[in-house]
Amino acid sequence: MTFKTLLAMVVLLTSALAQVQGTITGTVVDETGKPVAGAKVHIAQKDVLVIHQIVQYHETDDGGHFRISHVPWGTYVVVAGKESAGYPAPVFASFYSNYAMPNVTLAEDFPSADIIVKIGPKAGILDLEPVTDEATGKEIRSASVTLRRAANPDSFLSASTTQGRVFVPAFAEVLIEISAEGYKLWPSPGQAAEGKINLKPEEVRKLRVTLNQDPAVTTSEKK
Amino acid sequence: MGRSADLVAVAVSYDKGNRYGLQTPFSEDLSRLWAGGMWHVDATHNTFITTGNAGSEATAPEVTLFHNGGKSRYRMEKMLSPGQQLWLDVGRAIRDQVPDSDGHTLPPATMTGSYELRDLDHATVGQLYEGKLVIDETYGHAAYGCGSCCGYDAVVLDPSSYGGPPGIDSDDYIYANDTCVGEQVDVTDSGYGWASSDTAVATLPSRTLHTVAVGSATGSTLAKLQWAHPPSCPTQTFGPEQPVTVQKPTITSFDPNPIMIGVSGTSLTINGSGFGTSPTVNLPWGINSTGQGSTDSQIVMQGVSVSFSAKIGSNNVTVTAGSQTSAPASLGINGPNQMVVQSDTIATCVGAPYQCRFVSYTVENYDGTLAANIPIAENISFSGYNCQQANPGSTTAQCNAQYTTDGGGNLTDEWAMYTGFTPAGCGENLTDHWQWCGPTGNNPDPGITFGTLVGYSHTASTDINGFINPPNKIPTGTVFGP
Repeated sequence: MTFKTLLAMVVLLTSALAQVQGTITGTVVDETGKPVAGAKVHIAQKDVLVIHQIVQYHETDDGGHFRISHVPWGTYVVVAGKESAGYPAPVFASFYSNYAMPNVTLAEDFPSADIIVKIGPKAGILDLEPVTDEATGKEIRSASVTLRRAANPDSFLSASTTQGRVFVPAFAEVLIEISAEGYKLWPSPGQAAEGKINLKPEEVRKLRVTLNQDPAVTTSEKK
Repeated sequence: MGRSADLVAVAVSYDKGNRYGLQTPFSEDLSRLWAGGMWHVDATHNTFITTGNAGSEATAPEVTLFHNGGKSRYRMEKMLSPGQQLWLDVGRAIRDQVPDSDGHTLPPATMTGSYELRDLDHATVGQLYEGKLVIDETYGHAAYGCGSCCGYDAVVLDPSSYGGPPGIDSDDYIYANDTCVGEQVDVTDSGYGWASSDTAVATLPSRTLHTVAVGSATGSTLAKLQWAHPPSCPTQTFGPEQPVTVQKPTITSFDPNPIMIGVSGTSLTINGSGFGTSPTVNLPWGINSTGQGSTDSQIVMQGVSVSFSAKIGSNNVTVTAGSQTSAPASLGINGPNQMVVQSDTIATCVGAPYQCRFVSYTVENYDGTLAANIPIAENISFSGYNCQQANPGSTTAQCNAQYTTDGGGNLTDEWAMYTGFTPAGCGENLTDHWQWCGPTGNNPDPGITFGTLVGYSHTASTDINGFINPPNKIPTGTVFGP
């Protein structure tokens, strides 16, 4: 193989790689349009099933700008967040954000894109005290807190109550459920109003819940 | 013969015309070294310096004249039998340019200086007496004057105390302060009567101390030296002692502890006791050093490197000294070694309408600090896939510097729960080793595992180390190790 042949192959290979990878740049702004420095940005290929992946974040600079290189051709959803400032993690943007998540398509004719990612409003905060067993007073560490938007109950987020503080969408009616295996759901059916909240950004609502054991489950376990 | 209380020896001299007859007494005492006397020679003065052997055996005295402000010396050395004397006519030595024992002469213009007399064969208890006469030919005066004898004080054993393990041989030294020169000098050869207070602990039959068993003892010796008490400098027997502590080597601490994995060319200090003079440090796998220096209570290892094959966490180190090996002591090797769950959340996947399980972890180092911004990867394997549809696969991080923890040491893992596959509840088993790729991101490859997840990924739930979600989430604070 001559040097020229080798060089030609390298050029072709480099060119081929360059053709299947693009760049997404953009700016993260808050609900007032102000750039957000130190925000985390995440892209996910739209409608592509991947069983498992590490969530990769890209941080914005002081001007709120980000740049993601070597992105294969495809259509991506771009999400952002900044937990330390009250904006939930990017991967939960579809539940918290009041704004549509931008879609970006990279292809041979559109190898790069520059977008604005709007985040907000800041979330309210549900400050959960440890969930306890009504009868024994012991903490139920396996308990979950599930948040649903009242306007769209199919949109939900379920986390461990041991987190303590959980972000709640602001300016929205949210239904709270506390559950644990072997226990009755809180609030009980017919008392859903107990678990309904509507918080302003950064407003903190404390919640202390005790769960009652579910006799049916207990009986079943005894078998 | 010049000893104290004996008859005083007198030197007698007359001029050519027998006009002046002069006598000078010799010192009453004997010394190994006489120093500080002055001589003077010019047209009307001359100086005679003499010494004699008052001992019972031959010895070699040395007369040294210092001149030129002490920068130059004129040295005469001669073997004397018992009773013999040595005379030095300084005026004649200058006038006739008499060469000294090294072939040097005194410059003709030389007029004054100091002198010393030294017993070259008896460094500790000398047998020289001294006499000097200065003649004034103008007025016929004769001035006598002697140097001072030089003795010792502050006689000690070196080491002043000994601590070490059983089975060690260690040479002792005797040092004494020479009061004329103000320096500690080695007088070990004068030592005799070496002894140990407890030979079951340590023996000292000669200057070589031998440790026997754990315990305490006192080593001692005797040394006959001229005591620094001019003008007599009497012979004195000194008895310096040396506390001896024999103990098993013990490690009390390391500095630094923990030591960071991957370092090279650093030092590691081991503190403790009973290390003796040449301990052997038994290091764990992956730690090497290029050299070491030590005292009985401290070992400093130089050129220490900790390879990536070392084990992050607690490692045992021992020290062997003499015939004894210390109990193991824990030396931590620092590096990422555990994942702490921060949140376990189910929500809609990003970019897809089904549910995903997001688990966030903080990676912590062995010393409890956050492993911030470190390159990470996964060594993941799947098995037992039993869905009817083709396996969509997964994206895994490689040791290629592409993935890192964030500034808080966090990473987030995403598991899809796609209910469109059949039969319901199908999926595959998984074993996932989260790894650190070293500081460069690709060294080493494969990385060093800091957290292992075992379970399954099914269409309706995911099992991570026994926490099957839904419904059971991993409590915040749960720790997963390698």
